[in-house]
Amino acid sequence: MYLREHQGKEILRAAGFPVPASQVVSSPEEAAEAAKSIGPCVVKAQVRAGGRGKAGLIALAQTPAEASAAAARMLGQTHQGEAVDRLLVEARLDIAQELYLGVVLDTTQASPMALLSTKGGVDIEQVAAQHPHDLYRVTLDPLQEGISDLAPWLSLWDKAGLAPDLLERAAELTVKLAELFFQAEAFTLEINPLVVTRQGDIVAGDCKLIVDDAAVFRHPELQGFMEVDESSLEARANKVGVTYVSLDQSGTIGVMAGGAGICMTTMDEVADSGGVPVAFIDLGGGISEDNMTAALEIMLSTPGITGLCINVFGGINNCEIMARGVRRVWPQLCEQVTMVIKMRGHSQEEGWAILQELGVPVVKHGTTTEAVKLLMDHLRAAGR
Amino acid sequence: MYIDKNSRVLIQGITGRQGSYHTQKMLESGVAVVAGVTPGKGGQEVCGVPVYDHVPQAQAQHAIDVSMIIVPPPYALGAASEAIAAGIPLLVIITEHIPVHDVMRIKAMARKKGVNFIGPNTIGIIAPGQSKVGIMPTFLYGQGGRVAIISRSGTMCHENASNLVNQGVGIGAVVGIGGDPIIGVDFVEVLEHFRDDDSIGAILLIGEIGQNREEKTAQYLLDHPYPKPIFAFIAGRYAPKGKKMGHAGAIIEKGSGSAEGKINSLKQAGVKVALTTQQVADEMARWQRQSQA
Repeated sequence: MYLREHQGKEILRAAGFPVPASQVVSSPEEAAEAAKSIGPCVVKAQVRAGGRGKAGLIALAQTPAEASAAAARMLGQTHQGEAVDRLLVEARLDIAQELYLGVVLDTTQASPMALLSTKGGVDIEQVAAQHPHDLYRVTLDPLQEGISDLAPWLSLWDKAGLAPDLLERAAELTVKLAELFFQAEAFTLEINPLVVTRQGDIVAGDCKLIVDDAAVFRHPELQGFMEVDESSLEARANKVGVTYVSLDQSGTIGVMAGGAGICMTTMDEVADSGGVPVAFIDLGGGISEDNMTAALEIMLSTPGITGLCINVFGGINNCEIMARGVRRVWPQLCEQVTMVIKMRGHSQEEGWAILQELGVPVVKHGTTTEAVKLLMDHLRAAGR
Repeated sequence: MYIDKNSRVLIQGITGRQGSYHTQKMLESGVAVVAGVTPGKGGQEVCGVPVYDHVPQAQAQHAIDVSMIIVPPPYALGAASEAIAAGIPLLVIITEHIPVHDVMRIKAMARKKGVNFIGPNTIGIIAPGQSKVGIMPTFLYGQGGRVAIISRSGTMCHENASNLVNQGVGIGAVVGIGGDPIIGVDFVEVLEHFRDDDSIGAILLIGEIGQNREEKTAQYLLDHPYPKPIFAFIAGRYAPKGKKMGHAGAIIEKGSGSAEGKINSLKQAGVKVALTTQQVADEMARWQRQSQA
């Protein structure tokens, strides 16, 4: 889960990491109200994608009227596919220097890695590419040994060229951020810029926090940030324990398979054969007849779908149960799509018998390539 | 191969629905499942296999070569810690959706103790006709042969293995390394494992988008020329960027981890990359005919 700036900052604030005073607003009136209590401020669109500044989605406001005008301009815009539905009105910082501080999960080393630089406020990948010596990297112990020691950070910030009177505070905040990275079970926790004010304070100017969806169950402080559109096909699929992935919205061919790898492979081979995949559903393991039925209904709700390739194994799943699910939705399937099923594994004979009775083309021993080719032939024959 | 006929297996999570089902399937395949562990269920039996509360108690009664961990995600860290502390030399972690920080900790502990682990989020490992520590339907994998399959994806293992068996190509070993962002043994370590194994004549790598496992493998092959032909298949050529494709580890980020990049790196390292499942089966059948000629 990729948190919005204001959510990330809420987590920072709770951990004692300094963030500017702020309010989240969703109308020009609220923005004016917030500016009245905060004073000179920055109005920031709460979208996740970068490039907000260039897109005009960050604006300075001296007065409540200016804040209101900025809000009126930003709300309702779309930035890289994300609607601007809320803004952060934040106290303006008196910036003396911009630093960079981040901790990311390095999956190759299976360890967290802390990154810091005195060249903050710009795209850090650009710093890494153009001034690699200005970006310092430190691998942290996965078992958190020595994670709270200040000494290594004091010398590292010193080496990075930070002023002596700021070293201790910077080291403290680095430790705090590293601890928070573990505590929140983050993939990425990045503060860019980490602002040094003219008053000598160090404050988070922005916050990018990405946490592990698989760990959210044990983080009540993060659960409120889950944003699910209950009516979406993805959410409906989650409810029955399957994964819906939408692909090309102009596509016409759905793929249903048991496992991410085979879903992607079937999708690839559909595209190779000149078809356009519109979505796939990963059935995962342990599918029941009811859930198979529900998954098919969700697939059929995909706008534009005219073809369906079901490519399943009776491994953890059972062929007969999956075939029975198909039988239950059969009239609807017939009406809406041309389909082919490749199926083998546990209870394959029983599954094949059901499908053959329905008259579905079944691929028993062939490859995914064959199944996709057969589907394309049938689609052509049906004029779809 | 990591396992053989004589491997003695512990099942952690044996009393669960999945655990008991796969214990039964493994016993039917002739695997020596010697003990099970579920905290609080010590003293029971599952399919005639004795259950203990904790790993050390099972270890006091049985010699154990490998532990299969098939517990719900929140308990995987505890289960793996017990097995690692007990010094069981090999773990196969089947469980999907384990918090990634937990896997990171498991990996750090395993490193310290010199324990190998496979997974998580894997179908496990099988030496067809010999033994399996995993959840794959045994009959799809045939009765043995000279091909070793190493795969990030479970069902793509089923797909390719059954296609090969249907074409008469025998499989000697399958290692599902798992689909998560952090895993135990990686392609390179398994390749190293099979390097001097005379029973294996060719390798099939099954990769997918995301991460850089295939790119690292290509670099390894360039640095350490491999004595057997290697075939590969990469899923996700059509995957849109920035979208998680089902597996937690399968996402193309910032231009890295694309299928195209992986295919090109592997090709440059001399790997025969097949683009479709049919090509995999055809090319490996051709290899078998040539190697037998």
